[in-house]
Amino acid sequence: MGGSFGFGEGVGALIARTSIALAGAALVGALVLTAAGLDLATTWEAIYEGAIGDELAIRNSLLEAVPITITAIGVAIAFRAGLFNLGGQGQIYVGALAAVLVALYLHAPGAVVIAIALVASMLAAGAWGGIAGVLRARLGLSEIITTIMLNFIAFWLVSYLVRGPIQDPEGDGYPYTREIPEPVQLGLIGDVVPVGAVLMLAVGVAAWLLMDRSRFGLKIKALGEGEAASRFAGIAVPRVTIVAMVIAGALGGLGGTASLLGVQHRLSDFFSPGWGFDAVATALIGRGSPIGTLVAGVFIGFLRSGIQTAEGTAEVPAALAQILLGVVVLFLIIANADLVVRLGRRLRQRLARGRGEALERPA
Amino acid sequence: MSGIVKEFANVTACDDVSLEVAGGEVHALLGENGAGKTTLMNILYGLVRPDRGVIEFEGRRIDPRTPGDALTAGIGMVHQHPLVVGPMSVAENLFLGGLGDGTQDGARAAIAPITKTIPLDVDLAARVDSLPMSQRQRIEIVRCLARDVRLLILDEPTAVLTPEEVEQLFIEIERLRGSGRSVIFISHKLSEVMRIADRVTVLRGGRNVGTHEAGAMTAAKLAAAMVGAATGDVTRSDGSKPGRVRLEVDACTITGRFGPPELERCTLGVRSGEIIGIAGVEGNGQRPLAELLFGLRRATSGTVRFDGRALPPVGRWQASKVPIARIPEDRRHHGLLLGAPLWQNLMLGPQPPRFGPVLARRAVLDWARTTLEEYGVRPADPTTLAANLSGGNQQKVVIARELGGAPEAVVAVNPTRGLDIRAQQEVQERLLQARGRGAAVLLISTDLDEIFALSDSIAVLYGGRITGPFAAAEIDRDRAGMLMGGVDGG
Ligand SMILES: Nc1ncnc2c1ncn2[C@@H]1O[C@H](COP(=O)(O)OP(=O)(O)OP(=O)(O)O)[C@@H](O)[C@H]1O
Ligand SMILES: [Mg+2]
Repeated sequence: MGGSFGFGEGVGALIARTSIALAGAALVGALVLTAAGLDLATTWEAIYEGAIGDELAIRNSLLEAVPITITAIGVAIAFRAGLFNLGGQGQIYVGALAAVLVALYLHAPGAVVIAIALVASMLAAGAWGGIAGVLRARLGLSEIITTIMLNFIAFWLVSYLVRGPIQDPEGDGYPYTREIPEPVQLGLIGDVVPVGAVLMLAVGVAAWLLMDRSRFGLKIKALGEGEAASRFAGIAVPRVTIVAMVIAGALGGLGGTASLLGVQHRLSDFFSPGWGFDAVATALIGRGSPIGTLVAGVFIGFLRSGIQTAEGTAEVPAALAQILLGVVVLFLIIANADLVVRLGRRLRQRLARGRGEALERPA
Repeated sequence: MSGIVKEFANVTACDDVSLEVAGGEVHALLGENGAGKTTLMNILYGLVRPDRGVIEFEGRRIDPRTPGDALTAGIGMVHQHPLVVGPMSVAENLFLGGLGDGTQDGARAAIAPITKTIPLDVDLAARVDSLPMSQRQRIEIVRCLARDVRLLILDEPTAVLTPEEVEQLFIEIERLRGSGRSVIFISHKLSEVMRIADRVTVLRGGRNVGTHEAGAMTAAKLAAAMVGAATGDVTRSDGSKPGRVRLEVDACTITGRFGPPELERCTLGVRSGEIIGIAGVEGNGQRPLAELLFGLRRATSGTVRFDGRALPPVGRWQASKVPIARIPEDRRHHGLLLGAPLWQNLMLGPQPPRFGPVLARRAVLDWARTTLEEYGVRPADPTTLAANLSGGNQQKVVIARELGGAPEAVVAVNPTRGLDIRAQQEVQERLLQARGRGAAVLLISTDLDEIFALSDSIAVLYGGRITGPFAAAEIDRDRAGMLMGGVDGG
């Protein structure tokens, strides 16, 4: 996470880096698939078809991308403040819990319930993230540890509730709640674009405004660059820490709720298949920038969706599919590591000099 | 070293530099801020890879890729900003440098051969970040010598030392020379260079513009060689009429955790349009006094007021827009976000302009560029990372940020430390300008020349107590010197 991302490197370098990473991932992926005795051409085609083959595929991919991306943008903001929010999972569960309670028990017109559910989930999950923020700001406890602990608490809280107090009475004992009523479900805009995807885009733009165009964003970034200097400059370090964690938590909650209202329609204890951690990887790939994270999240959503479909259509074993996914993500993270970026920059300078061209502006 | 070239993205730090240092010689390296001194030395010490050029040491060609390589070859460096690891003990730091086993006894044994000639005088159990710069520096020197270094590079070692400590260092340098070792000595203080160096090399804009026998030069000639023109001293106009008291320290005491209080009933009022200089030997309460004024610490008793109102704790300064410029002693730790671009650093000042609710990138960058140009920061590119500036230019950024918004009061701690003569003069002129605009200026400096050149009134800090202030005309250097030594020769 280079400190100056967002107005440093050119887009060209970004694309170059990403392409190289994807080529590398494709190569390793091909080796894995071949070793497993699968036909490459059919598998690639199945993945492609599953990701963007037709309208349905695109819709599913977008739906897949929404919770990961929204959560990841929150993680990215915390990153920039120098905070490692590993609590996406817990925040997703807490947010979805608040939302499902509103959706199930508040009787009002659909739009009103949706609005209240969204707000409630952000408040609840924001508070959940805020706990780690307060512990960090006031007691100096590492947010890495506390967010993980909070994940356990949130998960088991939901697990208990969906097996008891709010379990679906007609659900044959499955650990989930009743389905939320039809008017509260988020649908599509047109035939393809889920409402959640619009929400995701809005979050991306809002986060960009916050981080790159506001004074508060500057404070967040300052804190991430150096706590001592930020403190000296008169920034209220504890406050900024807490607010950054609240924002991260709130976005985790929002991400979960988008899936709750838009896809799953009920809360279960297998609600989030690890989105909170996918979000961390996504924020790393996005190098902590809101827009970068948005793009990375959408890409990962499409990829996940494509690979999952390929599981069915090309009979790629589920474990292999996960391995493929892991390979791609790992390559992308490597390509975005500071070291690689720096080496790339040096190489670029050398080339430019060799050709006798004017040097590019530095980061 | 010959034909050394190093280009960074936007500057050529070393442009075909050649340098020859003889055995048993003290070789001074002079040059303006950003002339490439540190970069050249970093290349020699394996911290930076040159683009071109050859390094030979003791007749052999060497190619140090890490400081470890350089140390093995017999070259050691004490960096401009001591690199010791803050939160660990001295013994542990020595262990990281390959000496002893991390315990006090182990460390003592490992450095025993060296400390016979150069005493360390440091508590081995002390945490490094609690030590004054002079002691940190000494740890570094000892660490190098223990590795049998035959060429020792000292990058602006005296910038962080008091006059007595400088004397001590010079004695040590003489000893090194006596034992046949070579020393490369970097400093902006010409008098020091004239005293200690055998030969002097001047760098300008990344080029070697001449090596001279020190005996054949004068300070004025060196200055002219450095900047390409002669320089004068700043002059303080006596016309200014101080107004009402703006900044007040009222009976402030900070009790020490052990031992005597760090500050004892300090009282001081700074009026608008005046500069009060606080002289004193480092370690006599400068740091707690500065921290008090910066809002970083609270007094055990007593208050610090601005316009009659108690200063808020530092976390509220940005929010309440306290119009006080603060130039901290430790620019790399407190002053700057090293990993952030310059424009972001400038935005952290006490009074950045209002850009409206949505920061327009173009407007911010334009403003930042203008400010950087006005304060002579090189390069004046607001997207450069602060870490990539030379030491002196980093300080200029701090000054630009703090003084750029026409503050109503200024608290400056050693503001010209590490600056070349021209920059030094510029900063001093800025402080005088602030005074001329009616700002209340408090200058805490260990450089007595600076105190006398700038101050309307002078106070002395000794053992946590303030004596004075005296009108500048009523106190001379001898008297100040005695007070600084704790002797009241009144
Ligand atoms: N890592 C870097 N990346 C980009 N530019 C750099 C880097 N390090 C140094 N520079 C630039 O190289 C030039 C020479 O810097 P250097 O630190 O060697 O100067 P110096 O002579 O030691 O100055 P000072 O007296 O201020 O310490 C400066 O313009 C500086 O901004
Ligand atoms: Mg330097």
